Amino acid sequence: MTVAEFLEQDDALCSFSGSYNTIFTRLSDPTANVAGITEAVELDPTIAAKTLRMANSSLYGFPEPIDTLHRAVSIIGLQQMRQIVLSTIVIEHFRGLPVIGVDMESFWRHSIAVGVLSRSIARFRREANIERLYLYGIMHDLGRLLLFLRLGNRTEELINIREREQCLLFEAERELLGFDHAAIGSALLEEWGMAPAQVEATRYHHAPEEARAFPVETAIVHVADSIANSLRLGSSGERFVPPVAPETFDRIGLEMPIYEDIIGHARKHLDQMQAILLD
Amino acid sequence: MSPSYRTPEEVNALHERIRFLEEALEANAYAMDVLASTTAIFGDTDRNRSPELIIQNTIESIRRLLPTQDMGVYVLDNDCSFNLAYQERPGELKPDLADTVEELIRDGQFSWALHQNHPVCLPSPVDGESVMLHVVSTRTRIRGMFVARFRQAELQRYEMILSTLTMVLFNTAYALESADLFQMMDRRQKALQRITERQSRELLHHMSHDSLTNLPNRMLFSDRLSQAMERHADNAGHVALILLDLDNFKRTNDSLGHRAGDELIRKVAQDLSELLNQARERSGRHLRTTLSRLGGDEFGILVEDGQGLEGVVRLVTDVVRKTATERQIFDQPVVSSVSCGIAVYPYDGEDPDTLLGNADAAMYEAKQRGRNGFRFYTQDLNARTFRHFELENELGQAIANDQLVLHYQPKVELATGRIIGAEALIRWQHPKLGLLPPGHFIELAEDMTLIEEIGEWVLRRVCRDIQSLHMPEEDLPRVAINVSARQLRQPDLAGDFHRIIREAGIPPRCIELELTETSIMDDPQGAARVFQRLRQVGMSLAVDDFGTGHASLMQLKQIPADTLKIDRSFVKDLDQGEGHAQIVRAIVLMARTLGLDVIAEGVETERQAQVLQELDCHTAQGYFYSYPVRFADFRELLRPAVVLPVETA
Repeated sequence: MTVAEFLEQDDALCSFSGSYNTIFTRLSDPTANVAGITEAVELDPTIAAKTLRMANSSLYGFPEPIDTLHRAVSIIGLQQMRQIVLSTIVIEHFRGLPVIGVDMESFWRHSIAVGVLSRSIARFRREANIERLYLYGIMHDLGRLLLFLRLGNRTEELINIREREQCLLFEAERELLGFDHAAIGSALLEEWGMAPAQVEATRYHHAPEEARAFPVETAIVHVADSIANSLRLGSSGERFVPPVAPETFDRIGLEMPIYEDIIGHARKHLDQMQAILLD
Repeated sequence: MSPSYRTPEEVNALHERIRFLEEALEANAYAMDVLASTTAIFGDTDRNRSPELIIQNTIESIRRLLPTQDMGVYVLDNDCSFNLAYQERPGELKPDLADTVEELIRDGQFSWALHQNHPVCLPSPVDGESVMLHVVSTRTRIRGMFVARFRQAELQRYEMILSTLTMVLFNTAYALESADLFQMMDRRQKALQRITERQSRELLHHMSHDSLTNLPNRMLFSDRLSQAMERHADNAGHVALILLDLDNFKRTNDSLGHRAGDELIRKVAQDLSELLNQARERSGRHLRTTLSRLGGDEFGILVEDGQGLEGVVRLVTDVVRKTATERQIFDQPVVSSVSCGIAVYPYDGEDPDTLLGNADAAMYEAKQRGRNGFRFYTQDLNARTFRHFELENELGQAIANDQLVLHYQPKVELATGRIIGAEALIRWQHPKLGLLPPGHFIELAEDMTLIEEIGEWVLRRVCRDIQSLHMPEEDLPRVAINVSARQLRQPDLAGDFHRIIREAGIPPRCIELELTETSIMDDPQGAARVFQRLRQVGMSLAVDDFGTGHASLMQLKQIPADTLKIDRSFVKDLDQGEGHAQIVRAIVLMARTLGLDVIAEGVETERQAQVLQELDCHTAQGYFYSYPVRFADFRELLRPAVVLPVETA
């Protein structure tokens, strides 16, 4: 089985339906303006409500309540809002799917943690669009969700390998299938037409040294993933902490003590994010 | 053929999309231009590193990126408050941008925006407009805030290039930071430079000055000496080096302590500097002096005088006289005199060391000679200059102090030995040097223009002496007075003299004026005129030192003299044999021809007197008869009983 065959098996899983699809298409349109984005988000009341709650969360810390989506878009920024809405849609879309072998709550907690940590790292790097990294973090393990869905009862085989070999889950995946969830996830994102940076960051988040075009983004997701695992902020099925490639810290370029602040910042907002996105 | 299955709506949408993409492409091209020139924000010369220029550059970049209604930049100052450093259109639009920002600051939205890394668009009080805030910060430090108001419709179009704005402002933040650092570095460097300069100045001063008196020390003094010598190497100017040593300083030190010694040195140094300042001021500009403490109780004074050595000597005289005074040192009177040694370039040395050594030797000699005085290294200068100045000073006082005296040398009739008159000769009874003959001071008096005063004094004294003889008028002796060439130039010598004689009641014929042939020849017409006037008032005249002044017969004829006085040099040889009498014979013959009397001076032997008589000269003066004597003695000689030796043998 190849990654392509893997994705082709079920169209419904890999594409959004109904309003999600409309929102997704509109968001991807570069001609969209504030009004256009607002309109699109309003198509789905759940997404609209969650987006507004996100904008009013402590993550953005705006001094006054933001009561309309329109204002939220202009304050948080058009680009930024795209990524926030996208991540919300993705979570909504996959949350309802029947997945065996993984605790969905824990899986999303891990994903949100990596998202918030990635965003926090970008924030300390003073990057202009930090929501981008939030999106990359949230979606970095989508491949695994797909993997579990496809494997169904065969998931047990995967777990057995992990237990027998006492290895990391993605290594077990490679043993079983010849490829891992990172390959699946990046292929899916590519199909969706996501930014190349996101595709590469997802593809190499367990092998950051192989990222050629976007090494910084990849390094950020890689480091955030390890931090989330070591702090046990949810789990996507790993029992061990994936080791951090040392050169990624150099690539990110922040002093080690700053990670304390990054983690503190992420922890502060994680529960609130989880409450908004997963209730 | 294009596919025709698109609906008109789809076509419109596609058109719209193309238009958008073209606009975006154009905007992106601008953005790329701006990004390519972001280094312009920094500037790379010192001139460009001012915050004002950085902000100016930033605004120019942003103008090319975004169409705004108004924009401004707030900069964080050192007190952590935001100041509006630039506004595009201040006061033009209502409400003013600054007021809107004040509102945002109050709401907390401003401080919220400080922590966002992207442009934040907030609702504006004006419909259809937004206020954009964008922090200006580096990765570690907030530097300010960019604010702008623009139409919402336009923001949507330029949304793509807002990240360029972020990058521009990021550069601005770093430019401001580096400007700050440069300014700080500059300030530090300037401060450091100031400190270094001050310290080097101080160090140089310490190295070249004496700490007790703050005067130049030996090192600087030697340097100045070399410079001065170089300056005068090619001209006639002199450089005088005066070494000055306090007399008996060790005694002061031993009896009053070193602190008192130091105090004395300080006070002497102060007095000396004042003295030199005054001397410099008096001299106008041409006197240059350097005072230095060379060590211990030794000072050095360097004097350059373009005008000659006179000023130098005057100064030293002053220094010696005024420094030797009583000073209060810690309430103790201390008298300290100084001894000076003087060496003069170029006479006493061609290099500073030689000059210093010689000045030292001269100072040692001054000490040997009893301190409180000065010596020149060159003996000739000592003889000339030192005495010259001392005498000048003292001669001025001589008349008042009654130190001038007259001695009378009798004039004798050879045949009878009878005294017929005398030559009055001036002497200076000098308190230290003893009795000085006129040769020692008359020339000086002429230089000092004291000669008129002295001349009058002589005449008055002669008159008084003659009066005091109390003799019948016809028996009174005729007394000769020497008149110098300079006196001849007095406007009314004859009138002055006549008045004095008349006041004294002395017959004019008793006074004979002697003028040397040489001084007559200096100004024959003037002499003739004065002689004429003197003759008119009845005084007689004699030509002194006759035969030494090359007077022609014609000139001699024009001068209304009564007597020729044969110079002692001709008289001296008269006893040496026949051949030596020729000149005297000729002079006598000539005098007789012109109808003049003849008198010989400097007769020392009987033989000389004898020969003179043979040559038809009948009067003479000289040691053979009498030395010049005091008036009292002269008066004795005039007594009828006294007869001086007669050539009878």
